[in-house]
Amino acid sequence: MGAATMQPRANASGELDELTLARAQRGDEAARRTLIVKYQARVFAVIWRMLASRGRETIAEDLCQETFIRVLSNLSSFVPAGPARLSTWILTIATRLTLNELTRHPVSEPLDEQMKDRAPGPEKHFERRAVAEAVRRAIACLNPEQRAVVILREYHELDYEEIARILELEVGTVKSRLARARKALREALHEERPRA
Amino acid sequence: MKNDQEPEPEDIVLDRDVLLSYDAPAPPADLADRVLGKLRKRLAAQLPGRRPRLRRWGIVGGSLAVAAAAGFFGLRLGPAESGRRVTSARESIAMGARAVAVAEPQAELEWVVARGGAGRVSQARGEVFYRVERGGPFVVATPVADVQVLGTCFRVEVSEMKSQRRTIMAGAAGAALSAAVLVTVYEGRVMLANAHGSVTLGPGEHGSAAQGSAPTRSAQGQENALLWSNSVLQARVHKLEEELRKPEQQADESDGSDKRFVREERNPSWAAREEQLVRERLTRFLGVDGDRASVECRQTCCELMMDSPSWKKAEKEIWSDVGIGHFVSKGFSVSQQTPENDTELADATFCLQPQDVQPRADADRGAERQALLAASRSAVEACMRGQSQPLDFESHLRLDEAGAVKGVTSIADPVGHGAAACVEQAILAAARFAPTTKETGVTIELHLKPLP
Repeated sequence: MGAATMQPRANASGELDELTLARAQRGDEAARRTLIVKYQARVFAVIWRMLASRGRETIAEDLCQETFIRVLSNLSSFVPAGPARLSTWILTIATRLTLNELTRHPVSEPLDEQMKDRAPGPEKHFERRAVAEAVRRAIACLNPEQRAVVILREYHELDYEEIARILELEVGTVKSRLARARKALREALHEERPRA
Repeated sequence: MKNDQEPEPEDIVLDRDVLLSYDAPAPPADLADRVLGKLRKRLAAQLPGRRPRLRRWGIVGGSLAVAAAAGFFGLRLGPAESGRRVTSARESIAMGARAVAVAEPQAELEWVVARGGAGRVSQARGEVFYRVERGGPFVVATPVADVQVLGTCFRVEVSEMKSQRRTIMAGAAGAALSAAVLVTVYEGRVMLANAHGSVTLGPGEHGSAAQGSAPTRSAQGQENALLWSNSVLQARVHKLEEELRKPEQQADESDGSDKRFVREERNPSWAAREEQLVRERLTRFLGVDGDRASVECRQTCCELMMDSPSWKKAEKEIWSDVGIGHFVSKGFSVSQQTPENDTELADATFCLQPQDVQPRADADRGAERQALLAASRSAVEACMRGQSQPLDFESHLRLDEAGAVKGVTSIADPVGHGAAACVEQAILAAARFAPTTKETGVTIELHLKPLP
């Protein structure tokens, strides 16, 4: 259980400006569109990386749409002076929807698919793709909760308190999950691709 | 919680370039269009949750000109039929497909009924019996009050009466003519409302209103009903004839709950019990005065009507687990029209899923909230000791199926108030919730004064 803090938090750079937010809260369509455009890349990236499975395009798009539908449906209840930044609030919704999806429909790839992809092509320009694929597989081996912690921290640079709020965990739990996830990632990457 | 053997996350070094090679593609270019389109469709389909504010009741105190009413309805529902009549003998008048009026001699009526069924009658004088089928707002405006129809058979008498009032024009004391309205209900319910208040009338009741005072209700015997039986009979015959001419309407699950409600037949045993349960809930947990709300249930759907002040009290929590959500295991459909000013009525319908029609034995979050407030009271008060300013505090507790608090969001006004965290802790310490069959939420709202 994560108790909310009472301290206000000023909008950091990269957040939607207050006027547009207020308009979006009143239902102004142009402002709502601005909000979606502002946060869609971050939301899509979180969902995409957390799913970490093949054939995820459709699911990621659906979850991304559902995230913004829920965001806009509940936007009037968002308090700009409250404990969470708008981006954190939106990422909370995206993360929880994705965790639900991963819990309800766990994805496991066939072994032969993993084996087939294990050896990257020799060409230099394929190397980055091969490394990315190795990372994807390593992330896919984490459990959903560890994935969420790693992705929010490593890719979206959220601080521990924000991650704790999003996942409704204690900060200490976030840290220990992150440590375990990093360790698992490092081992998986070394196993898969010693050069990493 | 933390294992001392466990390293800090930063102690485990990962190659950042390697991690960042795992790129995410850009989202679809038309994502915003798709989201906004879906949102519009969801709202239009009135899926669980609220639908957009639709002005439905166009009630303005006093005698609104029919032309203005025509303009109002014309904007939203298109032109339909209108008429004016000063009767010299008893006369049966069809007002659109939904309403029949039987006017006694010397009655004066003007009416507009829109194509969608919404109707407004301006009754300047006389006695008129109405039968109105459900299907949208229907208002009989008299010089002193509006009769807002919740269905179905009622009589309106507008009489002139003398009152000792100073007339503005003459500037001298004297007898001025004023109007009074008497409403008698035979079936269904009506709400009699003016700027001073409102009263909901059921079968066998009558209400009255005069200039400058709130409508009142008193019990009514059956005598008047007998006197009007002839009118009732005429109206029913007329209605039956109308129904024979109408194509049969089939209930459709995809319809909004308001349409489903209209099409349902009443199941007396379920409806009576559900009405009682809903009324109790509105009164006990949402602070609604029972006299200012009407509840009518059919088979799976119920309709709530209440005046604007009552709606304002109930609106925030009406569909929550403390309110109507208590009766629901998973989802339910809701339609609502919210009042735009104090003279309009709120009109909301909800339909339960088949599995929820039978009584459910789930824990009552409303009762548990009351217990929590009582249990935390002294601790909350202790938090306010020594504070210099009042605190408006709201906390939303998210509960899992076991009744455990899985999350809490609190808002304090003013932000950063010294007692806010203490109050939150006091509430959480007193939180005791029984297991239920679903995840639930409970909102605690406190207005706290500083204590010495």
